[in-house]
Amino acid sequence: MSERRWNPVLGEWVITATHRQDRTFLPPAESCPLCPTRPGGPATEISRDDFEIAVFDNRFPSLRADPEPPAVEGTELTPVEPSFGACEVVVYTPDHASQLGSLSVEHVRHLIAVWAHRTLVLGARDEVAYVYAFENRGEEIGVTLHHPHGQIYAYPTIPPVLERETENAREHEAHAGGCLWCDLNRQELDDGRRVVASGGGWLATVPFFARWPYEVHLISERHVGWLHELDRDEVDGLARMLLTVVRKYNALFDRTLPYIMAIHQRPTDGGDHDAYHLHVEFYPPNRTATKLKYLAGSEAGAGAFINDTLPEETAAALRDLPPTLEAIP
Amino acid sequence: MVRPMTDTDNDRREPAPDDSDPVLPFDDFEVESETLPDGRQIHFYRWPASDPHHPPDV
Repeated sequence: MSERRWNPVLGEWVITATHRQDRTFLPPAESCPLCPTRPGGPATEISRDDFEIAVFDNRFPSLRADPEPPAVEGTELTPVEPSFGACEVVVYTPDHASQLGSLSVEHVRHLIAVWAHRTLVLGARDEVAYVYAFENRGEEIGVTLHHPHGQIYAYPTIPPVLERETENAREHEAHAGGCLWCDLNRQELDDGRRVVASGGGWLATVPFFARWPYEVHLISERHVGWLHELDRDEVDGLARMLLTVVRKYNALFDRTLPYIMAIHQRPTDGGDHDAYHLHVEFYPPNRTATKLKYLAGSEAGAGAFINDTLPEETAAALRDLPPTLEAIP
Repeated sequence: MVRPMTDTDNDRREPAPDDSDPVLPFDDFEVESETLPDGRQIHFYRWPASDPHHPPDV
């Protein structure tokens, strides 16, 4: 059962998805549903015995093209809607033991192409206003399957964080006459202290306003809104920058660092979003090798993040770790 | 709602002619789609031009 309920207090939709309580939870490797179906082996979600990159409809979707009617009736104050949209799983590789950081540059370029293509396909649907590709990495984030994969959600409205970003981008353009992220890029390059890596048409920084200790944003140098607008060199640069950042993360505490990777593109609702600028955000939850940053009273109850570290120091730590962008083969 | 295409820079690209099969300017791949027994769709992305024996992932 899944539906969208309106929260008039915060002015945002909440999705209920009770069937997700039954989803597969940390199965052993031999029972992984994202591995290929091997000859003579048990059937998995992947119907073939080999593949390069596979995308399929999530068995436990929060949003779907043909949602069931809502379980309750809404009111004028608290309306309820069917949960139109889509939830897809992107399986990066058949190799169960791999991860984003251990893929080749060519493979990550292909993954970027898949994200771009799915954005075009899903974004063209009438009921879809925003396509969001992301990866949850690590049990600390709540991952239930270890096989390297990400997800794509296609929402019927622009989600709250993206709505705020589009509004702020529009407001900045109106007052400053330019793109918010282009101006941030210029500021960070001029300052230099928060730069983690740069090159290939991309800048990676721990943002001045980082909420997470090792939060990193990847912003394209050229003002584009969607992945499909990148040229070949920029796609190659993004692939190398993604590998650089994730491998630095893994070097930080000498372990595979958990993270959320969020790909922020322009909405697909047909509105005027030219001010919005494509970027990728990483939020690792660790503040030390063994201690996590939790969303506690101030963050969860008031929406005010408290960062226990200085972005200038965490950026320097990441910048000094291997690999450099130039070292990615 | 319309597909996400813009003409904001000097590298304008025309919208793909068919929404079900958009073309990317930076990659050349094939998609083979299947319907699973429960009605869900699965899409297999292939790159025929790439070397199937590319250098192993590190």
